[in-house]
Amino acid sequence: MPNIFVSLPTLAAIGVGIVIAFFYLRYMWLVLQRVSKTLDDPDDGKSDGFAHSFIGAIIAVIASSLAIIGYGFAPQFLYVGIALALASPIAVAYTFRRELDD
Amino acid sequence: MISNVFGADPKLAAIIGLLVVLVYSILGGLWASVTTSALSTLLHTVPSAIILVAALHYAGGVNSVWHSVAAQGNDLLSVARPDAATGFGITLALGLLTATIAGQEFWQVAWALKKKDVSRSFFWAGAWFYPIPICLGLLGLIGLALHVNVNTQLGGDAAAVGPYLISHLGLPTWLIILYVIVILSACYSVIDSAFTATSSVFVVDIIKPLFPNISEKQLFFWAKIPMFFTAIIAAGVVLSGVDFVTIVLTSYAIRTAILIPLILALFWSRTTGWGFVGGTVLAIAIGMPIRSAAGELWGSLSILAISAVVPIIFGSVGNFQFDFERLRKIKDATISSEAQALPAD
Repeated sequence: MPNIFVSLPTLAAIGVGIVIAFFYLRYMWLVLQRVSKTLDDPDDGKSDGFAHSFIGAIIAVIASSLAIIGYGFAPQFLYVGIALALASPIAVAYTFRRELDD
Repeated sequence: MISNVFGADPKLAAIIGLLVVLVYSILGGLWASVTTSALSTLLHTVPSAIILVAALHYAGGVNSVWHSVAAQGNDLLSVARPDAATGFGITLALGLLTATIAGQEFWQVAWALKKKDVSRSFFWAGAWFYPIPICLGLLGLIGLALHVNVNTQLGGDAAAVGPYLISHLGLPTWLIILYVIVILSACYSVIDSAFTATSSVFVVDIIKPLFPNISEKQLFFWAKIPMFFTAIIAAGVVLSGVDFVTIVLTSYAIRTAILIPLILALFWSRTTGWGFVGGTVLAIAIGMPIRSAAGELWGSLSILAISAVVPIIFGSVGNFQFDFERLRKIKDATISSEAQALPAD
């Protein structure tokens, strides 16, 4: 293992990160292109539903609190924050993809 | 960060950074800010995860880090320590809450979004912001495990623990550069949002009411002016030499003063302009000295209490009733007279 990649877990994180970055940048680019074309379209739609988003936000707060509390349980739980940091751009890339499908 | 990682003059680095953001904000405006923010989300997350995996390895692994912190006692691995809440937790939470509700950076994004996307965008963005501090906060835990001394090694600035560790753990150069990119992108994203926020407030609340017939070209020119003043103020704060944690906690304590007056203005029809301004100004004028004398907890609670009581008193004694329906009839203030004069398609 070349020292430049530090360790096997680091190499794994780099591999996963590259895949995530590829899809994130691809969908971001496509969304930005679409937005630039529809920027001046009239906004005559209705406001979106609040309830589902609010429930999602509460779940996120509770999950984040549990992640921080989890740091105190055992050494392996320190990886939870790292896993969440990799999950975050996946979620955003998913919303980009949804935006393209709408 | 710059002084820790590169040994360069941090003030010079801050000025150069400000100039870079100023240039692209002037050229790109809100579009540039939104685009860089979208890219920043990727830069804050994937590189942070890679850096932390490597940093944990160099610090001896998760077992070594966790047991070292646990062995120091004092409930360092517990979230229930009261001194964390009173020292910075409550001020930070109130400041973050206020930023989201009252920050022009967020309002301008809300106005830019389509109606059908506003709620889910804000909740989704809020939800997926948490992993960033949860992940990068591990650097603080590594600092504790390695017994990094805030006063002797970090110059009294606890926020310097990240840059200090990254530059002293022996990580490969490319990871150090990656960390610099993460932090700089976070800084740039916040600064360009502030620039565009001051710009939009200046145009909508000052220029447009003063010159209602101003042309779109002139409006565009005037929109750039406050960015320069914001940059000068920001440079002044940086050059003052105050440490980062103090700047954050002080600014968050000040912005807490607007939280309750704004909520009252949005939801209580008896809120008056005098109550709003009086509550905010008195909360800062009285609450900040209390904060200096009695600490973060009492300072933040005083600011919150004063900012709530004053507008409620003003609203209760007066007969004013705001008609929220009036807001539906207000036209877009940023549309110039030339554009308004054009016939509809």
